[in-house]
Amino acid sequence: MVILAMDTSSPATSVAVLHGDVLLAHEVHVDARSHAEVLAVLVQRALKVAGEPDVSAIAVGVGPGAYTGLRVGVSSAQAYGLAWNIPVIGVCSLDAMARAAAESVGGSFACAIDARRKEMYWAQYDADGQRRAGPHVNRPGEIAAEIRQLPWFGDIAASYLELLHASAADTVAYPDARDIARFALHYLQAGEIIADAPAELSLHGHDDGTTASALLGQHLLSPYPLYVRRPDAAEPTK
Amino acid sequence: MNEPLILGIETSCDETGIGIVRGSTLLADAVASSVEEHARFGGVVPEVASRAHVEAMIPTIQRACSDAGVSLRDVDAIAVTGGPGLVGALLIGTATAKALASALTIPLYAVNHLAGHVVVDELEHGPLPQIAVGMLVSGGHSSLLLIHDDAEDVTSLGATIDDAAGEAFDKIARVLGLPFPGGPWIDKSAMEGNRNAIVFPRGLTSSKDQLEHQYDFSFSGLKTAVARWVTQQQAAGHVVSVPDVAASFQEAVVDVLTKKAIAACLDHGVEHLILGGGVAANSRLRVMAQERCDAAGIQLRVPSPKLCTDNGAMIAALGSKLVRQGVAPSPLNFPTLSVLPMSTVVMHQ
Ligand SMILES: [Zn+2]
Repeated sequence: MVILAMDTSSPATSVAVLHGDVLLAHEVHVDARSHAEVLAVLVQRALKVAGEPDVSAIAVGVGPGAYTGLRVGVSSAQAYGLAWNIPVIGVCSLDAMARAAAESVGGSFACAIDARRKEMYWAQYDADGQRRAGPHVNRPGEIAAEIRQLPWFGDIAASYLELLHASAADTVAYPDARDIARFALHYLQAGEIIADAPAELSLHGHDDGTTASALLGQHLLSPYPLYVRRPDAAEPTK
Repeated sequence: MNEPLILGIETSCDETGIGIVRGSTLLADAVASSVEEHARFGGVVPEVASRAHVEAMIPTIQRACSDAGVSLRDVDAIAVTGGPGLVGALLIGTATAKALASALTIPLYAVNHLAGHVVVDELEHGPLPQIAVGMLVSGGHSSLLLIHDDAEDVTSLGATIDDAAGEAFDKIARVLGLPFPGGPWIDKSAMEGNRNAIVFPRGLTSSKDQLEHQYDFSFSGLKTAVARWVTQQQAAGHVVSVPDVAASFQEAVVDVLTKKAIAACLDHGVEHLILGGGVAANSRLRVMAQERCDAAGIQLRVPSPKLCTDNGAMIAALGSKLVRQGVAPSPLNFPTLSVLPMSTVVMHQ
């Protein structure tokens, strides 16, 4: 089974083509403002490097992360899936990062992605890399002390070394399409079914803190951005 | 051989539009609008529009294909609005278009939204005249263009220097306690009112402004004047007639729009005026434009209201024209720009 994966939840745009355990191609371009320009080009290049295989599923990192990037990734993934008539799977970008990190930790830990405005998107994981809390969005100082004392992963965690017991060695750069692909493949092979779209959809635009609890125990998501925050918009007073 | 089958994608504002045309025959025009979600904010909220585009995109493509009785595999080229518009909203269309074109290995055309508003008229009223003036008025734009029949040669004659015409309708509707979007409500209310009840200012029509802003528009002074008039009447204890204010305001807008459009035609020796944009659905604008065109010997072309507002058919129509003319497609890495000059009808880099 060949999976084409992409992630645009961070300043990086990454694309990977995975055939079983074998990584056939991997492309990364780091520029927070060029997801839309480079994604299709990277996909084209990765498929060429991989030998133009028949793709059987698309996996896309659905964040949380900067909304514009997420929407580029999700819209593209959905369009590839529609054109090729194959399933499109959403993966929480923090989950994929955690699965890669879990191998080196051996205990409970947390992962974070920059949410700007001095906040971060974060989730807590057990030793097996299973999400136990989150994704949430908070300022680092608002997070409970016992969680702050866990090992932290993600480049933003390194910016809060004082607050978050992160060490530079504990940080991995950005969510990566290789991890998205491996994560999706693992749960597809385990027989997990993609989370029901309509139930999920209602959570996408109007998050009131229910996203996290609704997603616990679910790994394969419908391919829509995990916004976590509500849209920033004020109703006029008059 | 069959004429090319083109799928057009439009996401520059709050409508997710997918149109399918074969040659210049319209096969499908599917639109999902998030306008109701913006109503409580009194205007289009970009983040809300972007979220809605992501959710609406795939179902709208599927609906268009089903309406047209075609499969995505039959499509010969994709056209997409490359700008101008809300950049966050545009990106959902361009990302989708790039992925579709790349997955289906067909050419991709990133086109100018405003040119689409003019070319869409070909679907209903036949080939464009050799040269025409296009007046595009909506919540997002107010411009006068000079467009040649190949649709690749477009010049901007003028545009609004502040609010778009549709925005002025929205703001005055709010002053009068009418819902968003304001255009249809002002139009309806104005039918009961006296359009000569109050004389509101006509922006950029003085002889001094004519020198510098001959074909430009300004609606912000008008908006302030209407709001001030209403406040003064209320302060003096007078009852404000909503229909009279609506009709008088609308008259001021429509008077300036049609006067400048006709002047642009006459000054450039052009015999055809094409209207587009949501405000082109305004009943008073249609009547006055027809009267003044008749008087000046100009042919008026107005697409039906559904094709005047933002839709995918207009993008497909423009894409189809470019394909038939043998214009080179856009590269896969074209940028998405909120401001796209009128001289760029197809993005080539
Ligand atoms: Zn428009």
